[in-house]
Amino acid sequence: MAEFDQSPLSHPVPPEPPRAGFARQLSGAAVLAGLALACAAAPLMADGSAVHRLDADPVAAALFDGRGSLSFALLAAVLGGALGIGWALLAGVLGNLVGNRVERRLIAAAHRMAGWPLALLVPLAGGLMGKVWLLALVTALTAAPAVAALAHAELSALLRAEFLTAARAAGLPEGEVLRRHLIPNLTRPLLAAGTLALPRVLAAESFASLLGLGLPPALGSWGASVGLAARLGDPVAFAPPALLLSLALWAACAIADGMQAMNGRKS
Amino acid sequence: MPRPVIRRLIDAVPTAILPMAAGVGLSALVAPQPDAAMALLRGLVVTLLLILPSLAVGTALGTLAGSWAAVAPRSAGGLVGRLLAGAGPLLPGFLLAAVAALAVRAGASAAPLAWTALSIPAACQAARLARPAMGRALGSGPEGGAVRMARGLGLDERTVLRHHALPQAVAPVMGGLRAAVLAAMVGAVALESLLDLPGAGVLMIDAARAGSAAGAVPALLALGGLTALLNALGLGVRDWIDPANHSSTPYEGA
Repeated sequence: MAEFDQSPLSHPVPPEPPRAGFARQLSGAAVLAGLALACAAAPLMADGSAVHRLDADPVAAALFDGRGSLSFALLAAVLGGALGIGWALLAGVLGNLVGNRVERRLIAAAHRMAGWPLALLVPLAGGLMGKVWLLALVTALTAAPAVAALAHAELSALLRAEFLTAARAAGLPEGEVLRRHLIPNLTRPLLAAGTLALPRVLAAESFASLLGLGLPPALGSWGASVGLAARLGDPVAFAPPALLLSLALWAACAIADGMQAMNGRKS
Repeated sequence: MPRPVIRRLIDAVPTAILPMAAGVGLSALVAPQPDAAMALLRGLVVTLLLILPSLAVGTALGTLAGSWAAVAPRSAGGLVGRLLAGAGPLLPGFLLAAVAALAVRAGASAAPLAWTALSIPAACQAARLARPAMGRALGSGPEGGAVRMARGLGLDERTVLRHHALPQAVAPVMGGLRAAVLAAMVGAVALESLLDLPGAGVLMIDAARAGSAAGAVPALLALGGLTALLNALGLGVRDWIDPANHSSTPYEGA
C-alpha cells in the first residue's frame, strides 16, 4: 500500500480559503475575456467571408466561429439566469402571500426539471422552430431550473439569517429591512446562481450545433465546426474549435464555481 | 437485487417507466412510420446499452481514482484522480463523442471508443465528488469518526479504507450521479447521431432534422424516462452503500 500523504490528526488540514474561489473566478474571467477579445479581433486576421472556406486557416475560422458561440451563450445565459432568479423570487413571494405549499411545489418542479435532459430540447427546437430568438429562449429555459433551485436555496438561507431577525427586533420597518439588509446581501448570491447558466447554455448550444441543429451557419459556432470536422474526419479542422470550446467551457465553469465557493457553497 | 435499489426503482415508476411507456405509445399513435414504436423500443435498449456500462465503469474508476487522490495525492493513482477531478468541465460528453467519431473515421473500432467516450465524463464527475468526501472521511472532522474508531480498534489500514472510508466516499458520488447521467445521455445522443448507431437519440435527431414533431417528441419523452430510471438506479445504489443506512449493523469485516 502506498504511503499516506495525510497530515496527522494533531495538524488538521485547514479548510479551503475563500481566496481560492476568488482566484478560480478571476482566472476563468481572464480566460473568457481573452477568448472574447481574440474572437472579436478575428476579422482583422482574415476577411470575414474568407474564413468559412474549406481552405481557410482553421485557427482564424475557429476564432470567427467563437463570435457566434460566445455572443449567443452570453445572451442565453443572461436570459436563463434572469428566468431562474425570477422563478426563485416568484416562489419566495408566493410562499409569503399564498403559503409554503406553493413555494415548495414551484421549487420541487425546478429540482425535478433540473434532473431531466433538458439540453435535448435545444436540437429539437433548432430542428422544429429554426428561429434564433426561439432557440435562445429554449436554451435559456434549459438552464433556468438549476439556477432557480440554487437561487432559492440562497434566498432561503438569507431569510433565516440572524441579522434580519435582529433588524426586525430593533423595530426597523420592512421596507428598510428590504432596502438596507436584504437587497445588498442578496445581490451577490443571486449573481452567483445566475452565472451557473453560462456553462450550461454554452454546452447546450454547442451540442445542438454539433448535430447541425443549432445556430445557423451564417452566425458560426464552435459546435458546428467540430461536428462538421468530425463527420469529414478532418483532425486539423477539428482541433482549434474543439480546444477553444473546451477552454470556454472550463472558464465558464471556473467563474460559476469560484463565485459559489466565495459564497461558501459548492456547485 | 438489494432492497434499497428495488425500493428506489419502484418509486421511480411514475417518473421513469410512465414517460417511456408514453413515448412508445405516442410513437405508435402519431409517428408517420408504421413500426416507429418498435424502433423506439429497440433504440431505448441500444441507448441503455451504450450508457449503463460506461456509467458503471466510469463511476467506479473515477471514484477509486478520486479516493486515492485524497489518500495519496502524490502517487500515480492520486495524480490521475486529481487530473480527472479537475478536467471535468474541459471534457463534455458531446465533445468526446465527436473525438470518438473522428477516430472511427480514421479506422478505429466504434464500440470500445463509444463506451470510453461516455465513461470519461462519469469518471471526472465521480473523481470530483469522491476526492473531498474521502478527505473528510479520513480527516479530523466529525465525518472521520468511523475511521478514527476503526483505527483505534486496531484494524489494519487496508480494512479501514475498504470498509469505513471508501463507502463514505462512494455515497456522495452515487447521490451526485444525476450530472453524470445527464452528460452521458447528451453524449450518447451525439454519438448515435455521429456514428449512425440505431439508438433512441438518433431517432429524435433525425425526426427533428426532418421537422417532424410527431417523431421527435415521443423519443424525447422516452429518453427523459430513461434518464429518470438511471438516476433512480444511482440513488438506490447510494442508499445500499451509504454507511449512514447501516449504522445499526455490527461490524463483520476482516
